[in-house]
Amino acid sequence: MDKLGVDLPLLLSQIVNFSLLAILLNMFLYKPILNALQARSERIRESLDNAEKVKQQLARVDADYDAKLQEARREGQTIISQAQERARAQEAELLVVARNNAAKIEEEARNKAEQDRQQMLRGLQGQLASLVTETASNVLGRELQTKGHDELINKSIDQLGRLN
Amino acid sequence: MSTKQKVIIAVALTAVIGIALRIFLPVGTPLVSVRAEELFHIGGYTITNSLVLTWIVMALLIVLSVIGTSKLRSGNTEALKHPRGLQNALEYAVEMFYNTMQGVSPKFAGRFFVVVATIFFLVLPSNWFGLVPGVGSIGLCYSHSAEHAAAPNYVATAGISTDVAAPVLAAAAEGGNYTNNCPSGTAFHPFLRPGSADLNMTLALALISFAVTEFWGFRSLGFGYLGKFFNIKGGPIQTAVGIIELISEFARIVSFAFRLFGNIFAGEVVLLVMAFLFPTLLSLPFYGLELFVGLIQAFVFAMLTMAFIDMAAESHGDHGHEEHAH
Repeated sequence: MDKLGVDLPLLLSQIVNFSLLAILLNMFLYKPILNALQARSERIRESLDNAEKVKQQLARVDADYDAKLQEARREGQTIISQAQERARAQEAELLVVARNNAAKIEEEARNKAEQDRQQMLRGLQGQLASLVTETASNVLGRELQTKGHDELINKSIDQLGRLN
Repeated sequence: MSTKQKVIIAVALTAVIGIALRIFLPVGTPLVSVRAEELFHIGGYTITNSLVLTWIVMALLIVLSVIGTSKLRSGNTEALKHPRGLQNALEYAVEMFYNTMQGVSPKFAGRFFVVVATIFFLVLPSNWFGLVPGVGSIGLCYSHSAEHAAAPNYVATAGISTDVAAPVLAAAAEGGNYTNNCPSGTAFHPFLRPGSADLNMTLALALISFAVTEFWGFRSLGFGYLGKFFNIKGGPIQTAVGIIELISEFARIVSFAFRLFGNIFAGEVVLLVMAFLFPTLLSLPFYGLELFVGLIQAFVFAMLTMAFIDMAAESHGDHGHEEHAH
């Protein structure tokens, strides 16, 4: 062994060297770097997880948005159709009322016209009678006595009225 | 000028430089020393050149780690989010090694990462430092007689010199009459020598690897771990297998220590011999090879340790084949 240069103090010093180097490298090289690598891979995993989460959230929001849009559209549709229905009902109602009113107005107008006509006729009858008698008296030269000729007058008026 | 011509000119130029160096610069006989050379003594402790380089490697690693992870340790979120520069390089190295170890032993990679990674990160620069010009070739001539004295007798310095053996091996190679850039009676001691080319360090690592493996075996299986080696109930064949297992368990220390030492030391020798045979040009391909070998050996040492730890935790009977590296 001596010829090969193996020497106990040298051997021991190399073992001590190695142990020292192992401790120092562990402190300054392996631990910091392995920790960093682990931290980095953890961070990468976290980021990927987060990205996945965000993607899912986005998809959920998208779906939500779609659903809400759909709902809003449906609601709008119902509101519109309800409004249309109501409008139609109102229209019908209004039509009925208007028609009734119109009928009433027409009726009233007709009644009024009839009344007016009657009134006018009645007035005319009176005037006519006096006019007739006046004219007749003028023509006959004498004043017809109202009394005693009433029958005749009324008869002629009736004829007049029938002519009308 | 085409690429082919450029290559030819580069090779020719290198050859000319090599020949010139071979002629004008006297190169000593390449002699190699299996043992790490002593440089000086501190309070009775011998300091060898491999120990010095190991300290340099350690200091380099620690300084780089302290600088590179300073932002991470201070809890800087910006550094956590955007790693750059040295921090990024360190993260890349640690993460890649961690993932590789997880491939070898998914269950225990985290628990034994400190040991296995420290083996890798200590051995790799040690291996590659041997390839830095000057490591193993710059040094002083030490007088033999003064080798064990407190203060070595510096004789002469050589500009470029080759590794010189310890007296025993040198004498065997040259018949006690070797010529070198060092005067006779002195030996060349380079200032630096890669730790993995010194058996003290490789054996230390092998013993640590062995200790951790056995510790984990007992820790996870209790004394049932010994059943792997002393299996009398299983019949004579199982008993014999157990004994072989026991031997192979201890043989691992030797194979660990000598695999790394042999590869790196042999690489040094090959480079030396190639440089001796033909300066500059011939060593070039071997430099590439040695870079590769240095990486592979560091990786193999760490990975085998991880694999043995993993196997030690398995109960006997279902352990797989041991992996054998070159």
